[in-house]
Amino acid sequence: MLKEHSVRERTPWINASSLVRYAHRTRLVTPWLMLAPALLGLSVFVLLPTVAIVGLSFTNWNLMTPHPHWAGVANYRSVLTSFDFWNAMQHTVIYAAAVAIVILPASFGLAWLLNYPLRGRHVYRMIFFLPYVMPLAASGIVFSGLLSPSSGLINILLGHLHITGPNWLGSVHWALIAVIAVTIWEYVGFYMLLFLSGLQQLNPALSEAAAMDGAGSWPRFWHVILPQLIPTIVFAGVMVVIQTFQAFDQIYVMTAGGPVTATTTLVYYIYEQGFQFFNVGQASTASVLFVMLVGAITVIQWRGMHRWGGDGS
Amino acid sequence: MNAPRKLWLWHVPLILLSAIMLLPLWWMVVAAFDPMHALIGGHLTLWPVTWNLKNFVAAWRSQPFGRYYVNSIATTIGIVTLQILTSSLAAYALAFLTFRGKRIIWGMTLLAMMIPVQAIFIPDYLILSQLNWINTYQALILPFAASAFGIFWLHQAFRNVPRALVEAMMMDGASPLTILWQLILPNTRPAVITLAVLNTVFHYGYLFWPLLVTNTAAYRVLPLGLSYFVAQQSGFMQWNLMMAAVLMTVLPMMVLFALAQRYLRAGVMHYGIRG
Repeated sequence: MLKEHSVRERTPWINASSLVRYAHRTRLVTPWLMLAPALLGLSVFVLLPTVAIVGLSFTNWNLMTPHPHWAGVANYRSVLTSFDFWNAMQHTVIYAAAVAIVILPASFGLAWLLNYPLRGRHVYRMIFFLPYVMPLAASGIVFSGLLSPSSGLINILLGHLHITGPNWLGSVHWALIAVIAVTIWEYVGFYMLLFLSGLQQLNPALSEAAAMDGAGSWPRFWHVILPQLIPTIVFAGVMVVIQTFQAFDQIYVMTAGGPVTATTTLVYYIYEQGFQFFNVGQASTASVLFVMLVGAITVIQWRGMHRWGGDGS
Repeated sequence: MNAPRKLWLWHVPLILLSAIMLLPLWWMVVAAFDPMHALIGGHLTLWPVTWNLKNFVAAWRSQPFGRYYVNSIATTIGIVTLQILTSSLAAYALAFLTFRGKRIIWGMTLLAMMIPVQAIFIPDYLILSQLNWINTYQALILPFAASAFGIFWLHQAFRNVPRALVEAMMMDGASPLTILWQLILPNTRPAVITLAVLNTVFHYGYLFWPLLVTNTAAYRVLPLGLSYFVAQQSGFMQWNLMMAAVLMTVLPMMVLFALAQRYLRAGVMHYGIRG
């Protein structure tokens, strides 16, 4: 990739001095004018709030008093020892892991299959991608209907098999599984497209060379194709985790975090602490821990990509 | 890659999976058109008793869905337009211009990309309430007017435009806006359209943020309206009315998908891994 300061060396056929003058004129004002709207938005709504959330995590505030009160590390102590926080953390991890374990192999398999010149593969791709355009709240309501205990399609189908279906969303054991199912249904097609893009960037010459050397199809997959796909797989894995860690909409319409706290994830916990109990300090503390977790996962992604030889950018 | 023999056998599981994927959507359509659906318990209904539009009329009357549509569409168009505008300007500066502090700005962009709204919504909410913007379009739109992901995505796409072409236009004295409009954007269309479509799908469907910053029907968007509609029905759930409401909400995205899917495929395929 060409570096900006080497413009002159790379363009000997044009009048170098006028390019330098152009660059000089544009160096001071133009870039900043062009960056200004984006920087303003990001500063006010992302960077400043990030600093603020760290500050608020060291205070107590119920939004009724005009100012927060300094609380030191008390919030960290109480959040990190609170049952509700770890309970929410546990649900988040189970939810993220379950979605990832199903969605990654499933979408990879679909992409692998639909990368062959199979008749109708474009139609299949479209069908699998279709749920992605549904608002999550809409998908959540549709699944609530499908899973409703007496008139829902799922329990009627189970009834035909002489199985009494549970009250899915009203059951502590099944509610989180229902939320996991909606999420998989919603996103499997998106990850399929990601893997398809990875598969189509494979270098066919490598596979052919391996085949010529007498490598069977399994060793070829394992030693030639898979290493080329590592960046895509790592990227998809991290994206699933980040996406599931942020989940809110489907939980809000399907279970509102319940029954009891069976579907209260980290984000839902922060929402409840902040907007229902007006416990800004503890909500902020949980937010800081949440950002650190997401940040750590992102860093691991980049490290992983570099280690496996991907370009990571 | 040579295809395995008996490839057609894979149609069996693929058709089965497609049926599973389509079942919720089909059930939604049947329930939305079936006047009897709520009354039929314990029967498999995969075809409506009659196809009629009464559910849609009833759902439309029970909530100000017209207003919700206007709010949703205005909010989504506002966000997507502003985001493409701010992101393409910033991405151009980062991709083609030389200036002091570029590395810092790039670092800030990457940092901002790692911070989800769901983690910083409390200060965001406090800022908006200080501005007296709760229950306004500004509150729905402006927090998303700039997007680190948008800058990152367009920067990756812009880098693929041959540098010699950009320099040639610079030599001719073209302004950055002219270069952006006449050279960069036309040459990165799949990436720009993909960003716009993914953003439209996301923000049209976004419930979390509107839930925080609006509390009157006048500024309620469709997903939030749906959740109110569900909450209104206590005890006896009229799934047919609800599915009619859901179908009305989903329809614009289905149309968009049908129109944009060709670009989307190209866009996600080419830029997917880098996004």
